[in-house]
Amino acid sequence: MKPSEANIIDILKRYSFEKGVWKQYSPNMSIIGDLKINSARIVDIVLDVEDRFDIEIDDDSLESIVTVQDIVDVIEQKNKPV
Amino acid sequence: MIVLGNDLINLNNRVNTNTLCRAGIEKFFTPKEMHLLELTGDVKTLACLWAMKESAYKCLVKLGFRKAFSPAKYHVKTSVIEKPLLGEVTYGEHVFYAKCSEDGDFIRAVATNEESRLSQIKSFHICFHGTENKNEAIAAKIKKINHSDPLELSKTDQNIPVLMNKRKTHRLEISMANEGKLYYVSVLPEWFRITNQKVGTGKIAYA
Repeated sequence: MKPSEANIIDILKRYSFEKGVWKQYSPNMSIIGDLKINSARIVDIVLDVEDRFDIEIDDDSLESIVTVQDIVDVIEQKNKPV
Repeated sequence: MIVLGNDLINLNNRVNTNTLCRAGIEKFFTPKEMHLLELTGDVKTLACLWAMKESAYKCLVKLGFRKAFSPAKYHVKTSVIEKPLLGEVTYGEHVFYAKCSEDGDFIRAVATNEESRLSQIKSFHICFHGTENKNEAIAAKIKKINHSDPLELSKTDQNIPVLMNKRKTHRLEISMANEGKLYYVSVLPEWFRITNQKVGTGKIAYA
């Protein structure tokens, strides 16, 4: 597991109230459908990820985030040297 | 195709109010929407705008949209004077007609792509405390409200609820939102013939 994925899981678990879903965890699980995180928590997750990784998640990038892996991909994309 | 979406926000839940009061919340709203917040000074305004956006997003998913919800891309045009709050939510070329009402700490929104249908939508709350079959209980309640034959509630692969008659020939347009054990269900009481049923799955395929 990449360090960024571990950090993301740490953030997601703050907003996940059905703890049982994590027993089956895989990075391809959808944040809302599989991890049962309320969609209003998008705000908290995005702002926490931006703070933790010192990046800005724009509106288009946010539309690409369905799974945990998608967050990892967005972070890696944002941290790529230009 | 006529679609509807809904959303429910419980402002008695401190997690929700904390979220809406966070520094950086403006990132998820347009400047015009943030101006509405300045006019009212009430977090309920943001909750209403969010619920209207999410209701429109649910409509869009039923129309075949497969991207995640990016709230700032949904623009709500409304007045904060009217109650219930009525408005248009646009996403690109798509326009949805939305209504948001307050009931104590609960913010409830519905949206549809046909303006004339907005006033026809029937909504109710249902609370689940145990291990009862939620789909059966919701279908039974709608059957009672709609004076219809027995109904069957299921979900598509995209987690979209589908409410059909037992013969699976017709469906009622439905949307569901929940805050924990409390479900908010909205139904358009008009039968639509099912023409695109996935063979053998017993599920209809939305666009």
